[in-house]
Amino acid sequence: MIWSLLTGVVRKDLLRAWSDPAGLLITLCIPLAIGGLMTMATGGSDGPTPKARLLVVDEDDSIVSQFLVGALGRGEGGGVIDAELVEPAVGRSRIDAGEASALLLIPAGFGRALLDETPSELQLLTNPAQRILPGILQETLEMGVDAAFYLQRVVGPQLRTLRDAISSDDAQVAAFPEAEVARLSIEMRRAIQRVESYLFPPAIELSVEAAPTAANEAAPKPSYGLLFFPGVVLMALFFAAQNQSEDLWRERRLGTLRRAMSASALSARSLLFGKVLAGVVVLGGLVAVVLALGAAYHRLPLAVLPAAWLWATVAGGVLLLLMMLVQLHASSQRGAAILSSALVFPLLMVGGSFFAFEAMPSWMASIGRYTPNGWALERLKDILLQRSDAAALAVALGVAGLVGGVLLLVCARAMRRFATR
Amino acid sequence: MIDVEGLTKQFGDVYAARGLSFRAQPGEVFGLLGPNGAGKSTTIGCICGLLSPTSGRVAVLGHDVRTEGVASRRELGVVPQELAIYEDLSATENLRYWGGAFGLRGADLQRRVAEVLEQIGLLDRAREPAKQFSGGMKRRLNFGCALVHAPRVLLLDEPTVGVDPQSRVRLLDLVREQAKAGVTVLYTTHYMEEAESLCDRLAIVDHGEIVAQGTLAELRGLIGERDVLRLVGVFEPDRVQRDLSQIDGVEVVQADATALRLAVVGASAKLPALFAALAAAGATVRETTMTQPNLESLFIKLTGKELRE
Repeated sequence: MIWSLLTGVVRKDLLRAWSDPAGLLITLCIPLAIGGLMTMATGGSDGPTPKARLLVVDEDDSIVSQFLVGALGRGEGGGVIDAELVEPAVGRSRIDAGEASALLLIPAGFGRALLDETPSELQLLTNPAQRILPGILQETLEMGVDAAFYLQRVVGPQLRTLRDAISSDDAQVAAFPEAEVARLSIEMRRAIQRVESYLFPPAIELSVEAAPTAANEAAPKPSYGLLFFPGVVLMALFFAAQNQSEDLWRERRLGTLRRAMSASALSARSLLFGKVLAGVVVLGGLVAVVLALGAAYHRLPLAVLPAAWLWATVAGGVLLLLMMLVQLHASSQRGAAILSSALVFPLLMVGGSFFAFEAMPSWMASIGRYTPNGWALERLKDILLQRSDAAALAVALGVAGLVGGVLLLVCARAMRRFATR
Repeated sequence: MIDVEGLTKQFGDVYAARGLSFRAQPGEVFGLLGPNGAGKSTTIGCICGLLSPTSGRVAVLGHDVRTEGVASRRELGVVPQELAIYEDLSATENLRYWGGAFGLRGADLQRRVAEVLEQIGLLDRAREPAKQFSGGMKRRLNFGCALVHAPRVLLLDEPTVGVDPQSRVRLLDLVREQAKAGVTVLYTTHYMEEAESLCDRLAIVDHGEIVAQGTLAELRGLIGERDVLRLVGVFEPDRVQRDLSQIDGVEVVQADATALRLAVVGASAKLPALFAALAAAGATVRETTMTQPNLESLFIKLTGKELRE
């Protein structure tokens, strides 16, 4: 009997949803359009890792400044920093035009000042239109300056002698005795030997190993677009859940909720449960379409799709209940719309749908990962990048089921009052 | 059967219903007649369990609505004052849904849907979305949704408000058919003509209280075998009331500066004396209407105001 009543409610809501294909299409298209544009803006599925372009005006042109500029383009920083030497006027005009992430000004005398241990200043002008890449440049530069400082502490006297020799006129260079060169070399070697026990290898070593598995081998290499894709899925779910939850107010305006409460075998709880089930079916269809498009574009392995669909649909159901909770407690339809939008947009913003966590400041990303959609997004990303197994999925589904159950109970309590007030 | 005993519903300091008692029997149309805000919809709300009575008892076919709410609601068909249908669904889908909401399914549901479509005259438009219907057709569908599970008790809350005359006639015929089939019908309205033509028994409600109840004949008897004279003109209410009351067989039902309403035994014979008394009282008469006693006259006699106020 209860099942028959529920299927009636589900059937009715699905028919109503189907009778408004434009609404469904808009719900689908908005996140796809946003996601598509952001993916294209970041280079698509094969797009390179974004690089910070650093313009350098080297007015010092010393051994130290050259070491600093060279260090910025090598090692870990070399992957994301593209350093380019420019003339001062060109550098200024290009940073003003927003053509680079930052402009580094190395003043004349910087190298001498560093070796003489006298104050000097590097200037870094950052592009205010960018947030993440200038930050990377600043941190890398600070590391470079620290490295130069420690180099100066270890072999400073020898470097100063060399600098004086190189900067002197040709006659004196020629007069620089070979014995002196040998002495300097030995001193530098001894200095380095004194500290090398701490540096090579470092006193503390962190070893991170990942066991090579078939799954890891087949795992897609995440481009920025792929990292952003789970956010698109969650955005589509959030918008659709918001739209579905508003049906409570549509039914209230139609008077059908009141009618159902006044004369039928339907209880408020069964009516709500039926509406949630119908909503989950719609969300499941939406997830299937978005995942299919995403899988084709990002060339995702087909094996991950069933788990991704299951997880995203369940997560969508929980988001739907969250949105219903807002609708049921609002005093008017307009109030509900304002309240739900005030909830959805900040959550989308912080929860990784407008900006991937990887592109956020770490403090914001760590908050975002604990928002409901952010948490769901991370699980979905793990599934899509094959970093998750069945046990992890089962735990996530259990947590979602528990949260959904609590929300369902709270909503059911509010439903009758909402329908009859 | 609907049993209402001492029903009181209070919202803060306001009494929407105060000590209402009536009983509607199977096969009869019991009317609640009263102006807007009299407490008719509150009474319906308490019967179908949407509102909890402050005190008193309401039972539907013997099921107390407070303690056996689910059982009583299954027996009810409710036609709300406002349309309560899914306009984006067809007539068939609406009826299927509301039939299913009472547990009907399969062949039974299909049969009842077809029967109701026939009854409400929408068989040929059954597959069209309700949003394409005229106002009258939507009203009929609204009515049909309450009939699809063949309820034994039907509550109709002003179902003809805003309905064109043709659709109104059709709806009233449907109500009569239900009563003839043995259904208990409770019908609320503020249209006196509807109540007179449809209801077997009536309760006149004002300010949440029943001021009179009985069959139409019994209620007419309360005003007596008197004609109702309505005079329009310029009057001094106190003076006119005092002077006319002295004429044998004349009762001033209502008097104000521009209109008089009198209940008069043998009005034709008394007209000369009435006009002479009015002239002596300084009144000017511009228009005179004489009618048989009706519910409106009774309502005015009982409450001192017109039904449409």
